[in-house]
Amino acid sequence: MSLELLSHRHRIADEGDAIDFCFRQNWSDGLPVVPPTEARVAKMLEAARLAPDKVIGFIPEREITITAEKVAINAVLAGCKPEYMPVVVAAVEGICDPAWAYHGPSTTTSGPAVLIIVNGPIARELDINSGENLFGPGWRSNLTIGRAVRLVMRNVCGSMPGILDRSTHGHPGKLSYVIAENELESPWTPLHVDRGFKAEQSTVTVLAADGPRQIFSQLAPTTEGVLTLMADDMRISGGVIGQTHYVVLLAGEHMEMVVRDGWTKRDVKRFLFENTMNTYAHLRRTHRFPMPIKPGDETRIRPLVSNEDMFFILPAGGTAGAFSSYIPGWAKESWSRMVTKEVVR
Amino acid sequence: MIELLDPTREIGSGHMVYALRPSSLKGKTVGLIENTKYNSDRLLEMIGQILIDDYGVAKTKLYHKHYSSVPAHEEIITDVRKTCDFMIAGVGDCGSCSSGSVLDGILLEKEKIPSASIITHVFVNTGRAMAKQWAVPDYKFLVMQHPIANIPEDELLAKARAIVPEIVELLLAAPEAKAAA
Repeated sequence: MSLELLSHRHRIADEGDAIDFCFRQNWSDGLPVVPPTEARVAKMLEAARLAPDKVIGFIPEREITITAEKVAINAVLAGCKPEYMPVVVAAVEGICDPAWAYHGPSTTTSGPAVLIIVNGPIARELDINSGENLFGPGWRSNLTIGRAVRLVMRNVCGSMPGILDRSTHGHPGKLSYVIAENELESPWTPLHVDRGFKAEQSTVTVLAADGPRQIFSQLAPTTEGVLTLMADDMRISGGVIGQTHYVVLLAGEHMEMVVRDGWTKRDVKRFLFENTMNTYAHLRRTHRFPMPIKPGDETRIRPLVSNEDMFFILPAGGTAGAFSSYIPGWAKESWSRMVTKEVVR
Repeated sequence: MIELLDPTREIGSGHMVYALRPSSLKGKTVGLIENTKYNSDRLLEMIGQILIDDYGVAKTKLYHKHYSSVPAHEEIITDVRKTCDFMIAGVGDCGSCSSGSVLDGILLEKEKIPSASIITHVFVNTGRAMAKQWAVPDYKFLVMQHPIANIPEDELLAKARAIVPEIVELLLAAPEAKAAA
């Protein structure tokens, strides 16, 4: 195990110029960065108990090996506390997983970000927000962990905007897109338990995802009413062409109603699946599918997702307000799958 | 004085080593790797037919990638290597698929199959960046006008006809050889 840091070193005479130097080197996402000195990088590696040459991931379609040293340097740039490093590492492992399939979602014109969902005890320990202002601002952990992952993508994997990241629009989640699930107030098993981990384990789940779409339902008196409104909004939404994943985030007032009405996660998934169908004729008429309309297309049904388990239901968001959100995944579920990795400490 | 560690990956800068080129397309088999984007199969079929009609190619074999944003999967690479004399990949008309088609060309050249990758003009820098990622920044790929997905059949055919001479040139003469000549 080598403890030597092998990255190229840049000497700067004027310490006050260090941040601007990083900008000039094109290392930044547009915001000021923390200059990556050896002492800061070493602390980052120590916190995760990683040797600098430890391989965190390999991306075959770019022949890229990502070492702990490069992850640590970018975590410093992003402004992470050292104790965030294991979460950053798990997220980088996630986007290097063949199931996530790095090249497509990172390069595509359709512009998804890396949605990072943190579960288990570490989410509370690091104060990763699962409540009000779920998507920020205000939480250092939420904003710097995702930023560190993006900087690894930019600086190590070559995902430079306009070059190997060709997002037509992209969305603000591409700066950082980290949330936690509100596990403490949930009546259900959390996401990581549904995905095969123990409740006491900490995990990071990554999904190539569009931006969040908020729905407002103040008038519906029941869960069915809230979900009817949500399904109506979802039916023609980001993932309709490809059949992708959807993360559904039920916030306080809606979640209270769901608990009161005794709906299970399965009930929610099934309702959404059954109420987000389109006809082939509509998808052709609106140029989502190729024309012309064929016999039977007026009644031939295409579900929004391939099966009801492509809806991932999580309680998260503020306690006040009749709002919830959903997040469409990228393209088609088989092109880039949701991946969950354990946070190793 | 402050010393900063570089957060980027150091990438080597080599030169593309192209497969040896036969002197003619006559009687040869050409693999067509379409990237699954709308119209890319039609365009490659048109190109293949022109190569048969005008250049004496014996036959073409059309391969479909798993999807547009990945390199051609192993079964395609193996079959092209075993059964084809040339390969044409495309047509990348989006970010991840352009660079994916460029990669198909690089991978098949490494397998000693003379290849031509086609992308559309708005993605030239993305194709070039992919070549740089593979440390072959000078790798030559071909460029046609964007778009191809939403144009009628006659325009598609015109694009096919326009690019065929470039394809033939690249398949029969590797860029270095041409520069040396």
